[in-house]
Amino acid sequence: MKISGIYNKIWKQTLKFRKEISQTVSGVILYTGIFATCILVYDMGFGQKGSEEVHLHDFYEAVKWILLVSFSVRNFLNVFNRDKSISVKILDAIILGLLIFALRIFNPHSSLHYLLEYIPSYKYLLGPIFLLIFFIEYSRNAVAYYSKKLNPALIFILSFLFIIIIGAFFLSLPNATHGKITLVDAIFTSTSAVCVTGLVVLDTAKDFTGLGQIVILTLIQIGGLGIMTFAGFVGFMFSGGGVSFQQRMMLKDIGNSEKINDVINSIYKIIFIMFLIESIGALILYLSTPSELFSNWTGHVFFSVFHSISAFCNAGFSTYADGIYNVDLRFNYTLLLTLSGLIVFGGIGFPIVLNFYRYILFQITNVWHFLVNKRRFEHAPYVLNLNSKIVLITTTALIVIGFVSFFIFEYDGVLREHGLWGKISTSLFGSIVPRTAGFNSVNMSLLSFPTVILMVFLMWIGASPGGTGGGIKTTTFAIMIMNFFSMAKGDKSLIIQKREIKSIAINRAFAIVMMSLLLIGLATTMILYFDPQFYLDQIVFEVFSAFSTTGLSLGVTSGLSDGSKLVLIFVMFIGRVGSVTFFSAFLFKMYKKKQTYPTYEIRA
Amino acid sequence: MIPSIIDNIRYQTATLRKVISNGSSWILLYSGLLTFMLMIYDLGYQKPDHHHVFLRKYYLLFIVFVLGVYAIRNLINLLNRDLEKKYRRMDFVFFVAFLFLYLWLIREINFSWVKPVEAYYKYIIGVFFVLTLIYEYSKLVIKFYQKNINPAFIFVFVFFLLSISGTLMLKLPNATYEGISFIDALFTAVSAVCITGLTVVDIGSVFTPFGHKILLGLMQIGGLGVMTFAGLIGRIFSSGISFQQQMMLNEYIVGDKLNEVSRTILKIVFITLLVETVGAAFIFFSTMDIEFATFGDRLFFAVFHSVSAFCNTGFVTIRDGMTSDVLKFNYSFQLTVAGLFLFGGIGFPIVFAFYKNIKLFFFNLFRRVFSGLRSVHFAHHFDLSSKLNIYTTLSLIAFAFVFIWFFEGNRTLFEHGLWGKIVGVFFAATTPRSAGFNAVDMSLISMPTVMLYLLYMWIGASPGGTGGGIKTTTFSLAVLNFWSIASGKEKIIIFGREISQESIKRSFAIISLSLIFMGIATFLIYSFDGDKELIKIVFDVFSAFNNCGLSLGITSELTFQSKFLLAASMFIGRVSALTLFSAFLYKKRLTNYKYPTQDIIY
Repeated sequence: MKISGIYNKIWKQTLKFRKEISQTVSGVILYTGIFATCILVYDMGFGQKGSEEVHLHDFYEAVKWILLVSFSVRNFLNVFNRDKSISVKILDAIILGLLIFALRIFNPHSSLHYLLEYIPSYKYLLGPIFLLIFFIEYSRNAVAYYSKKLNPALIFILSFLFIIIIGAFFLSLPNATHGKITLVDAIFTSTSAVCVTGLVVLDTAKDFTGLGQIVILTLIQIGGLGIMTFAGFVGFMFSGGGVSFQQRMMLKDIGNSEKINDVINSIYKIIFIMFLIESIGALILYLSTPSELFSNWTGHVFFSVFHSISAFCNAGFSTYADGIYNVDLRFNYTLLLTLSGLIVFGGIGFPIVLNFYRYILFQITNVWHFLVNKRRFEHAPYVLNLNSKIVLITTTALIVIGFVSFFIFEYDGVLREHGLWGKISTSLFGSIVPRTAGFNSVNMSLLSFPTVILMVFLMWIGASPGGTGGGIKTTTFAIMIMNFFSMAKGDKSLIIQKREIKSIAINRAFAIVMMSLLLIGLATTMILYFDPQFYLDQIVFEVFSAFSTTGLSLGVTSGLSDGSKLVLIFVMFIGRVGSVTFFSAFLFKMYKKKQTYPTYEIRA
Repeated sequence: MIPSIIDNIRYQTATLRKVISNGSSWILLYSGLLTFMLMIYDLGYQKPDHHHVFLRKYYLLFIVFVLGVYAIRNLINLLNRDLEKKYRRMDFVFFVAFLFLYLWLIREINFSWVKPVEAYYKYIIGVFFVLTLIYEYSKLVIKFYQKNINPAFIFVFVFFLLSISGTLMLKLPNATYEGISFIDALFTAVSAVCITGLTVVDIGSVFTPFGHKILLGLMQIGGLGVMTFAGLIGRIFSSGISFQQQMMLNEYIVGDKLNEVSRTILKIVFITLLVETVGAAFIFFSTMDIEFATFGDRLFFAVFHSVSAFCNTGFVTIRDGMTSDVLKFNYSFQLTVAGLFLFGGIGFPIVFAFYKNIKLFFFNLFRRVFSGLRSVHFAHHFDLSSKLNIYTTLSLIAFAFVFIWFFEGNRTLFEHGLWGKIVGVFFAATTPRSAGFNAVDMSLISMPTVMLYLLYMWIGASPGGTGGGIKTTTFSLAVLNFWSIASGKEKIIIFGREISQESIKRSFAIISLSLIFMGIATFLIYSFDGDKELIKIVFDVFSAFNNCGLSLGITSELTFQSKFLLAASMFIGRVSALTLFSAFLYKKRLTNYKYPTQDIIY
């Protein structure tokens, strides 16, 4: 009895000690990460070759070692810690691996040292690692701190705002652009990247240096990740109704300490799958483009990675001159189809991707077992919930409609220069990019009017919830359509696939549709006022593109005045965080009223 | 034994009465239709003299015949009191009216005040016949109502019939000076029936006075139809049970619901005519400085514009409308018109409340002055829809006033003084919802104003009124819904009432359908008329679908297909896309089971 008591006490003390160590380590990593990132920014943004170089090199050396030690300690502790989820541990291990890898590369005696020749500067390797560490540590801490204090919608908005400002700052660094960049243009580009829109006021290929492009890439990646993770949770909170995120968290804290880990766990799962798909995409892109197009190997790899990320995040930025429309690329149908695949995967929403991933994994294990253990095939329980079903059906329908319409409308138009297979691929690409990727493989100014309207429509609908795309979302659109049919039929409630849709869900769809239209109307009015020299269709297209974070344009973006650019920035931002989320950041209160009022019909 | 014989006789007479009553209704209906056609021939075509003589004789004969029928009916009504009191009273009124008409026609009555309208005797006869037709028709149609016919279908069908017959009437040789193409006639007729006001030809110079009278009739019928029918349909849909069920239920519970319905309709007709008369008087006196050929023309001008304004149509018989030189600075005329279309657009319940208050005011005045008694106060209660409606309307007007003052004050309204500017801005702020009189030169207005007009046309007027659009209540529900969703509330609560889920869903359906339809219409029209600017086409489509009638000036230049599409948009907008869908999809299903609920993520 007594012995076990002492044992317990020791165990408790050990736990406490471990907790303290891990907290210290976290602090060290966070602050080192911040500091190192700042120095790196200064170095890359303003740095000249000279005497500082040596000092900074030493500094980086020191930072590397500090981080290496901290992560070793953390990984060591992880081994004995059962509370932490497996994906957290894996991520820590990956970072440790990266650090060791970096150390090996910089060691002149190492066999990996030759790899350094492929990179313009060692900073391009260190930078992403620092940023990754900084980002992960920051978000880990931020989630823990702020979720209990602030309105989650506000956190979401503030973090986006924060990243946009940082991004704008990065882009205005002297080394980021070849020429000068105005503040509005920097903010515009940063917003466009973080909101994964893809509208450009400067030519990404010509006006930005390698550093600038890397900044844009990072912003896209952060933006895409942020949306997939955070937006999901904000949506989750709203769909829960009544109970706030904070309350939810607190409830979970009390009820089950594992739950917050669950949240973090699924964040890591999202990150993991995202990287996996992007890597596969980058690989295919790499293989599908001939290396003659690029000056060197690095350029080729960077092209693949950039476009893979840009496509998966539904951003639509391109580092190639003229983008995908370039003669080198627009006849490369494998490239088009790969990009289409990435866009669809990015836009269709995480739940379905996860489902798909599990299914693939299951089949692979099945094959493995069949080959190695001679076991029979098992069938996966393949259950899609109603949301996913709606998403799949709507997405498929929209792609097919878009494809057929594009094919018909443009058969003698922009598709003339392609063969049959090319026409098919280009039409498919043309029907997928408006939702809401924003690459263009055709000359936008030559599109026929029906195609333009079709694109506006597709942009407005956008991608699916839980994905990287924008727009009002496929589910919203589906509910809208189903609602008026059910109203016209005189049904009492909206029933889809033998499920009654909650009235709050319909109201939410209504709010989203309404706000999107009011906002687009308002923005169009303002831009028409600022820039009366453009036509309505051009501006409407631009505003729809910005609101749905697509990034297609009829070519007026760079010609707009600063006022219009600011309007577009605002529209992109609201379109990204969602108008309902945006306004709820200021309005949301924990309404939990007990009393009910008499219900009343409104004539309409 | 004897009582049973008496009962039998009583039973037999009742059957006889029924047969006579029904039979006479049918006879009057068919002979009335025949007369109506003859009358159209009479008014619409040039014809030899002996036709004139024949027609005049025929009219007299027909009036005698109608008199006879009503005399028999009144006789039966006197003996048999089975028929509802209302019908007996109506029969009597019609009898007296026709007697009066007859005496007047055979010159037995010769009052001096009847003199000026002498020339219009055909129209007066026409009005009498039409009233008879409507009365008999409604008597018969109530029987149809008791069968299970989808009311939305009837509504759509009636408007369709009206549009077609309007087209044919406008095609009559006497309706226009130089003839009119079919599509233009169709467009104008639909525009009038759907009380839109979009024009492809100049109303003043293309149509003859007879044509104007046809337009007046179409507008009036359209306006009344919308006010009565649409309101009833809304009530049916909102209550969730079918019209027939409602009727049956009410027969047990309330006793006579149909009676109430027809009383409401009569009330609407009465107040409409009253307001229009007052409006016509105002217009009459405010246009004293305009030259007219005859007194009759002057009177007709007043009546036409009063009806056009109250019904939110926007037809003007003067070229360029409000911006023409004769009307541009006539502020009292503009204010009268604005007042009329505001009244027409705000919805019957509010107009009625207003009417009651005015009546009360005079009643009290009378009491005070003549009897020295204290004023009486009645509790007047606005229901939630009306309250919401008033608040929305007022805030929309206030917003538009400031907006237009800012953007147009020194642009299109620069030539007016302060008072003129106030009136002009007020007019411009109220006309897009959905009256359609142009206050300023539409080709010169600034882009922001165009966008505001688009929004306001889309919002439109209020339910139960003559205006179109998605309606103010729908719009305010949309905004309130957004507000409460963003605030994290589960329900929309306003003025201490929770808004029913059904209302929100209906608003959503109305809004999404309107957008889809306008999108398709714009898309198609632009593909037929690609040479026009997109903004102008969008403006016309919004104007047509929301029954406003403003245009940026391309309507008459459109191709045949586009005109047809615009006419179709007007029609669909008028009957409302949701009603149109319901007309074909509505099915009453009894669902005693429930499915599990499911949330949707966005």
